[in-house]
Amino acid sequence: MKKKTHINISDAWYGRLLSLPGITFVFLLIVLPVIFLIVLSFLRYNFVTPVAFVGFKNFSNIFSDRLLPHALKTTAIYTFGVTSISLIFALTISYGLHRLGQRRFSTLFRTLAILPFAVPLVLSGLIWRWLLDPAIGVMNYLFIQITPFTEPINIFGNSTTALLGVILADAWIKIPFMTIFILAAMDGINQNLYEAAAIDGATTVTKFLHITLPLSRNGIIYGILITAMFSFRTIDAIWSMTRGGPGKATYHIGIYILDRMLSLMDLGQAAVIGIIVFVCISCFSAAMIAWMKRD
Amino acid sequence: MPETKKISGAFNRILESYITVYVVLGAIFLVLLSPLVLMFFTAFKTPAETEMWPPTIVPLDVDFEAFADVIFNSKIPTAIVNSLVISLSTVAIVVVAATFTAYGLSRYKYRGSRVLSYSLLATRIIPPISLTIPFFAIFAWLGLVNKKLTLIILNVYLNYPIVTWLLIDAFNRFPNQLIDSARIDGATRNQTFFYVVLPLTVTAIAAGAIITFLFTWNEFLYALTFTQTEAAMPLTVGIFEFVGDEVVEWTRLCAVGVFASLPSIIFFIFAQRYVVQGLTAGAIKE
Repeated sequence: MKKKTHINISDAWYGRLLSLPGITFVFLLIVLPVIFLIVLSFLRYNFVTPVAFVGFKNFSNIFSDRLLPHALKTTAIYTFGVTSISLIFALTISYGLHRLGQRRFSTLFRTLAILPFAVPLVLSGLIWRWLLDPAIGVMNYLFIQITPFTEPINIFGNSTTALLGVILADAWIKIPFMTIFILAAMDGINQNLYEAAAIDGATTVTKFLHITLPLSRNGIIYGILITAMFSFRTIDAIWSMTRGGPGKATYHIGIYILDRMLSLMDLGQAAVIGIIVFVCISCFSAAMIAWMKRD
Repeated sequence: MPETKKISGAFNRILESYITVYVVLGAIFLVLLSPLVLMFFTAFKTPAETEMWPPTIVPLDVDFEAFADVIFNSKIPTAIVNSLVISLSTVAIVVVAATFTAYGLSRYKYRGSRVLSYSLLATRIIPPISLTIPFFAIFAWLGLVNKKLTLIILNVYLNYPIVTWLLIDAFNRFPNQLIDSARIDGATRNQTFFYVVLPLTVTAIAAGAIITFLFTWNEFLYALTFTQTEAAMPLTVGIFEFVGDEVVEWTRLCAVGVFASLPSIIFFIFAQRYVVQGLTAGAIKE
């Protein structure tokens, strides 16, 4: 055995010694930028003219910008679309896998279910852009074969359908992501409950509605929360598909931030939008966590 | 009404049957996995074949030119190396730091350690996209734009709280008797930690390492904001080399896609349990 080193500190100090360096570093990495974000929103900060305090000018500029309500609306539709499509599929897949239990192919099926999540979101955008392409896209070809339509659809050429296209690409990645959370919750349900219900003559639908759904409720809410949060704040799929276009049809609030920051180099105005995103996500998370805690 | 009862009974039998479950899951997976399969096949097509109508699914002739071109003739190998350097460094830093932090918070409680644990979880609410702006100003001021170090720091910020939370949970579930008996047998606190606790919590640590790797490997927003040249560019940004304003080189893009998805696919097949454990860590106790 190695030479014993005696450090005569109390257990509490030992705990502080182990945990505080990392926590301090990360809090500095998080708290300082949050403070700086708020400070920036009151500054003219554009790498050209000298930095100056401008009061609420950035706020009034952004709040009077017609793009703000548009970006918020687009983001809301996008978030709702991605979350609800993923929820429907993730619930179906999780319930199916839950029903299968340890039956044949269940391991294979569980792997297949999460496989699309392996693709980086930004790449999924590019793949879907190709699948939906009017000239060479496989999905468009299938669409013409199956439906009465005879002309390929240029989904990103049209401002009403473009948003649907980006939602599809993002939902494709979010389905397996959400499945992981919902399935984990469903796996925690005691199988005996189903047997007891079956003896009492419960149908599959009743069992699903009265055992599976209520008992995996928190996993489902958590899945909704984290999926909605991610689609509210990530721009990967949109960036690789449309960058906000055509026109401003897919103008997600994240694109709005990047436009102000990287194209216009106006960090003060970008910071105001950043604060808006922050507030929206905090309120949404608080509401969802309250819902989860309510029994 | 016997008629409706018969119908609903048949309906229930169909729902009850496992064949239905297999059929429904099979149909969903067919749709869900087809983009992946098409990406894989297209990487082996010739560029001319990707322009054909009707589109082909399986390549007419297997062609390795896209792979050869991506490997020998593009910035992608540099991007892959960058991605590996950034991801592995992040994993090393996060795993070491989070293990110490979590053990301190879980096993040796002090005043405020509970609040600290929960505030770590709460940081996940802060949207990384909002912090891009102050980070951009700070790193520009420090001259740290277009450096791999910048991306490592930012990915540590993104992953450290969740991995710490995952490990706090693992250490909380660790049986105290084992620690106590090691201490009674004369092991120091450090020895107990390294020789008793760590070997038995290695699965949770592996889960933390794997999700950190995957999140860092797939990270795009900060990579896009903070890299301009191939010196620091990871794969998620490097992929845009084949995306022009008008023309996209689909075969090469798909070849890169195969490289980009490979680490995750390997982890999903061989270490799925760890991925799931890592991802659901925050969901367990809220």
